[in-house]
Amino acid sequence: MEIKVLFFASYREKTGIKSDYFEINPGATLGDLIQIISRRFPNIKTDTSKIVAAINEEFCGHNTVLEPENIVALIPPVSGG
Amino acid sequence: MPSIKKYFVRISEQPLNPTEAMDFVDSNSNGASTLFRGVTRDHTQDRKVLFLEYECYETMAITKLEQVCKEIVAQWNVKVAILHRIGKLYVGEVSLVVAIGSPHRKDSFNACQYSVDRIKQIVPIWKKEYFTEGSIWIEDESGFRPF
Repeated sequence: MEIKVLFFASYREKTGIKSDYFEINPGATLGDLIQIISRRFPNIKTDTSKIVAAINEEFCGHNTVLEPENIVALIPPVSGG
Repeated sequence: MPSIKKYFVRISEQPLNPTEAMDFVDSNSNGASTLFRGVTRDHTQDRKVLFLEYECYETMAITKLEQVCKEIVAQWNVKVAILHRIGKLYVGEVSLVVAIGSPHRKDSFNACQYSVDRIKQIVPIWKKEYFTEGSIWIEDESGFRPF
């Protein structure tokens, strides 16, 4: 199945895209998806285990299983305020 | 009896109006109000800052700002308004307004400090600093507390 992924701030600049769809196997986790993304964009982060992501606007751990229609966002360390 | 909304959040590209936030938290039962403004500084360490650019994941940022407000009203007897600006900000411009109103001052001070700290931990807003020699995304790994 395909999962939509959003990229913001430094991740958007490193990948050159704001969003794209990535093919994953049924039962794949957020961590699996992040590995797929980092294979396509090796420069995104040196230690991919430290990439933080949200599923449907909620922060989730890498072992979270993805469901159809999930929207994933990769969230760089925040710096609002 | 109608329930009174205890918090208000907004993200905007337009200049922020602190009076709007204060008006929201004011009430006849409140004896204290606190206003915090985050302002664009002209330097970071020895870099001379020209301007900042703020970006956000807007729908999630609104949800997370509301989460901060809910955490606050669960802990203290306060009303809270949070306004965050995005886009390009020059030195001296206001990026963040937090207003707290409460019956007594202690809750107001504590809730205000907590708000700003939490915003910097969980709200998906990012700033890029432009200075004379280039630009850099500000990313504080140690301050980021998504969980």
